[in-house]
Amino acid sequence: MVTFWVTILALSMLLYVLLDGFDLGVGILFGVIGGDTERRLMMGAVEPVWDGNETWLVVTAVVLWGAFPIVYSILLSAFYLPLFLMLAGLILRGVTFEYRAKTQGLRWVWDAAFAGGSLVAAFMQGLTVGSLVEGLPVAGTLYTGGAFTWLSPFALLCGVGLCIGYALLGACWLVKKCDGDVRETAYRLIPLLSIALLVFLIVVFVYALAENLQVMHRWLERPILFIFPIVGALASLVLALNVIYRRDNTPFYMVALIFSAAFGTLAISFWPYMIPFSITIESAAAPHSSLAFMFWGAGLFVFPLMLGYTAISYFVFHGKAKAEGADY
Amino acid sequence: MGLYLAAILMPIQLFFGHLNGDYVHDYQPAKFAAIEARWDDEAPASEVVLAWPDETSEANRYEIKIPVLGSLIASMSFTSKEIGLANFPPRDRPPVLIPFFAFRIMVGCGLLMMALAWFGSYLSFKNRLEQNRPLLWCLFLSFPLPWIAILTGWFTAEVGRQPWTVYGVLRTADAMTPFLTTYEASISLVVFCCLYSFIFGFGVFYIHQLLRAGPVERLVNPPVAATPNRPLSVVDEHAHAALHGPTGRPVLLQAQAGE
Repeated sequence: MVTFWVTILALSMLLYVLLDGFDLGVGILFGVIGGDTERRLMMGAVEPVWDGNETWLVVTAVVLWGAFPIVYSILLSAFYLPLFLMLAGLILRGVTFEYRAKTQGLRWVWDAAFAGGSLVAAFMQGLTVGSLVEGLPVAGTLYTGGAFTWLSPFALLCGVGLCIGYALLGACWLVKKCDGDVRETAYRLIPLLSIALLVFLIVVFVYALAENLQVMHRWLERPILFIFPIVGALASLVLALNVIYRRDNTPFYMVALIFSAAFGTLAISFWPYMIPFSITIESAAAPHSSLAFMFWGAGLFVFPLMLGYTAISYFVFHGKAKAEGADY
Repeated sequence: MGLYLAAILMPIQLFFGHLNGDYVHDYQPAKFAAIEARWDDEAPASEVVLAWPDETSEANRYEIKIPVLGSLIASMSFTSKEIGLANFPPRDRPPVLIPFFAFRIMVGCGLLMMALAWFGSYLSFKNRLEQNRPLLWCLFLSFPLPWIAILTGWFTAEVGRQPWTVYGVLRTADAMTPFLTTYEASISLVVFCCLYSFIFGFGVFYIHQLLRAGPVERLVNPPVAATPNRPLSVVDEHAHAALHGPTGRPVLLQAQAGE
């Protein structure tokens, strides 16, 4: 039962990072790519799916709440301010889809809200992960740090890194979904963002070595973990080739693969800890009766249903987006 | 259409509200007593319609109450004994003022909506709705009622269950994030208030613009087969009467010609 819920949690988180990652990325690029027609096309590329993507954040939170309540309570206590700022960002960018088309003169307000909200949400997510990697002060099952314990150079660096990563994912999505100037600009941005991401990864690596973080030791203890970075490197190579030959569909999947590899690296280097290095999966799990109760409802029916409708919505809205007749 | 739906749904909503009340009566007796502003046990219990509950003297001032109705509402009986707040030590009692008034505002909104929906449906059934200007104004002005009812219902539920987060198990004070100070909690509260005011401010503005602009498309789309010179020939009598202006020409077509 615990394994089942860990799998569900990992899958929801990965889906969230990949799916909301690209639409947050498109939001971040909104600040870079100008022109009203282009921006409408960009919104059109994510409009049918963005809110569906964000439900995976809700799923992640609810699975944590139901199946791993201790982790939920520690994370929400420790990241009270970052997570609340993330929600504020998500609210601001979400409302843009409704409001932007309703105004001409004040459109810049909503452009700023969309780009700013996406940027803040992405930054806070990266910061949270970075701070978690560094470790949280925990005694028993209670968080013992303060309101700003998360604030560290490494966490801020991870925030910036995730913004770059999401922007890259967003650029690949635009290449896949758009034509014309947007596609061209996105193609020009992909190499820049990829190099920036690479630099970020190297900096994190060096920083981890310099700080002697515990995660580093675990990587060195288990050479098998290097399969994930290798998959990531191969995907980067394929990405570069496809960008050179302008194959619109492939780059997105390659960056998604890089993200999955990074996610796998992160998850397995912490295993079996959920809050590194104080709370393990076993000790965080809810009693068996709770897990079993949720399994027969949420696990067996709701989760497959959500996977199904997500797949259907992507199938229905496949192909290139068009700006004509769009209302945002 | 909306009126008919409200006329049917409102009584169902009130019935489910009553069932929910039964649940609170059985499982959260302190909340129930606070909602009813009942301080001491009573048998049969009266129903306090309006009052100013005073927590220091544990009594109601200026109260208007109906005998026996309290037992009837709570237990469907004329004689049942209903529990008062005095049964609970003060540290286990919820604040009384907020649940008491919030509940009454919620129920008041519900009854008002039902009255409007039933009267409106009656007039609409008799084809006299469009002639009744005061009622149309009341219906228009009643649009915030559902929100008020939902919010006050929320206040009733959340304030009424204090001091518990998990009823009878976990106190709100013990459930809180350990380091969370008033300062940090107020930062998040203020930011969210600003954010929502910003969004709702613009929302109200855009809704206002939409209302001013009026419907853009034709209200009635004649089927393709209808002959062009008689666009409303397929519409029933009432729509015909409503759509035609004093000149006898369709109102919508006049508007188009005017543009």
